[in-house]
Amino acid sequence: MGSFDSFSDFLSMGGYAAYVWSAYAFFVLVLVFNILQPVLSRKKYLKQQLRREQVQQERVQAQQNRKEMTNGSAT
Amino acid sequence: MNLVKATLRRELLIALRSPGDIINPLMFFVIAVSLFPLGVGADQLFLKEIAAGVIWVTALLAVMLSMDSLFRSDYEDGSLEQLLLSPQPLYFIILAKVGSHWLVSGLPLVILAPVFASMLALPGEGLFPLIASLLIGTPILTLLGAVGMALTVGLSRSGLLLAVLILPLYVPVLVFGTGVIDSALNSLGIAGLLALLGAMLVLAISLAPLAIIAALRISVS
Amino acid sequence: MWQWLYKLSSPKWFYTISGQLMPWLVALTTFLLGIGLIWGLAFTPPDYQMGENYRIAYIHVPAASIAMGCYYMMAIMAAAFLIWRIKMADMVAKACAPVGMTFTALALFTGSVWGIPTWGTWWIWDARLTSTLIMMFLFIGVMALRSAYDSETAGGKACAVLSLVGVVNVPIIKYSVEWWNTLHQGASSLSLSNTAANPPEIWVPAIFVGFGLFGFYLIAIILRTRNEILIRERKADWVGEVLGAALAINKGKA
Repeated sequence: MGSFDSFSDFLSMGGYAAYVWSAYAFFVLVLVFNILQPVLSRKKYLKQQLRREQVQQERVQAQQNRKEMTNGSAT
Repeated sequence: MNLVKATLRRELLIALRSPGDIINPLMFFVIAVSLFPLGVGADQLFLKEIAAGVIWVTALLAVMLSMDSLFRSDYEDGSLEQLLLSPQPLYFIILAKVGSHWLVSGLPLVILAPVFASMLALPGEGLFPLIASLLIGTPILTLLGAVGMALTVGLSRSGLLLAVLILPLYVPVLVFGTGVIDSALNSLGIAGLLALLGAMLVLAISLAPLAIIAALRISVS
Repeated sequence: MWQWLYKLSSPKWFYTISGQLMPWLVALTTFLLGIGLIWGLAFTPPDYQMGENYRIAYIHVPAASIAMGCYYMMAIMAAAFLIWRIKMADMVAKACAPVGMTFTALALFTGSVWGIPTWGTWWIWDARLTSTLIMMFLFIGVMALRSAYDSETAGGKACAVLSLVGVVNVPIIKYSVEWWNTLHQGASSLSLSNTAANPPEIWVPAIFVGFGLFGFYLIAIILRTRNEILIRERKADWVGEVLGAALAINKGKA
């Protein structure tokens, strides 16, 4: 495998495993954070908008119901 | 020019009428410097090593703490808004305001510093470089601090925010300021470093008021 | 060129174009990072001086330079926002701060981990580490200032002024820290930048990782900016349509 004799050789990084792999782990963490955070906040925002829309719809519905009720009592 | 003079006189008068604003940062400087020997021990050789750094860092913090009185009261009584609306050249008024603030906060520090430097066992040949570097360096600190203060004056809790904003910007002044003293103690030339500090001061004088004006406009809007 | 810039300053245009570009950018970034990392981690020969440990440099060096570039980009956007009042510029500037901060954090972490076997300690006041640390403080300052303001526009303008003051300072800070470093400890014995003098099989993968990480940086900025557009322009008709479509998909899932 490239410059290493075996996969376990690759993992041990010539004795520098702890350093090399923790650096790359932090690298992956930064990548994941920078993708996940905006994606999650987008989802949260969409959910908020959805709820707002629902509340608005319910309000319109309630208004209509009230109108119908008053109309009904008038006749 | 008359306007600049008038602003200077007004600011100085206001400062003299509320001496607490002047004295508290100075007291902070005096007490904080005195704490260092109590913390690190009174070994003269060690104190001599750290004296320049201690004086400079403490002076830097004292300047930062003194900033709070710069625009605060003007902002609260609305005179800041009037100042920004006035047709006078703002650049010079702001420069006069910051300059007078330095006269009552920075200059006393420069005068007091040699006393406390000797208490920290700074050798005699370090005293002139200390005074010179503080004399050129503290106005830069005041100008940069004024930018931070102008940005945060409209916010309710701004004390620690100011520190987060401007302390990183103080790094070059600290490095070259203490560098002047270290060079002198190692019998190296200090003229070049002082000139470098001077160049930074010129840069700060020419650019900082513009940033302060822009920041104040944001704060009062 | 100007027309293109003008178009870019329209949130709608930015949103549409960035949406179309995104799949290509993701593909290209994955390709570059994938090739570069596998190559750099497994196939390049070890360094004669630092052994396998130098492989950290493949991410450290581009992270540090992108973080620096990110600060300059934030300052350019700040200028565009203050001078021409381009709202898009402020949205991009807002996206720059957290991305830049994570990249400086990455540069600091990888630098100090690399230092443990090399210097025998995880932190020394090396010129590069120190100026990167101060760079991180600058990013933190901008983020703290923005979060302290309630008003979006006032906060944006305040951050713009701070970024511009900072950008004048960045070269001075870098120069002062380098000068300070030589004064206080002489030339540091081993620096990560030594890798520059290496043969092609070592620096070619570095170029792949570098461009890949830059692509990733663009993706991160674009994602945040798109969110910001949706939030700030929510009253615009076209955003209503976009939101409507997105909500319909979300409803379908739920």
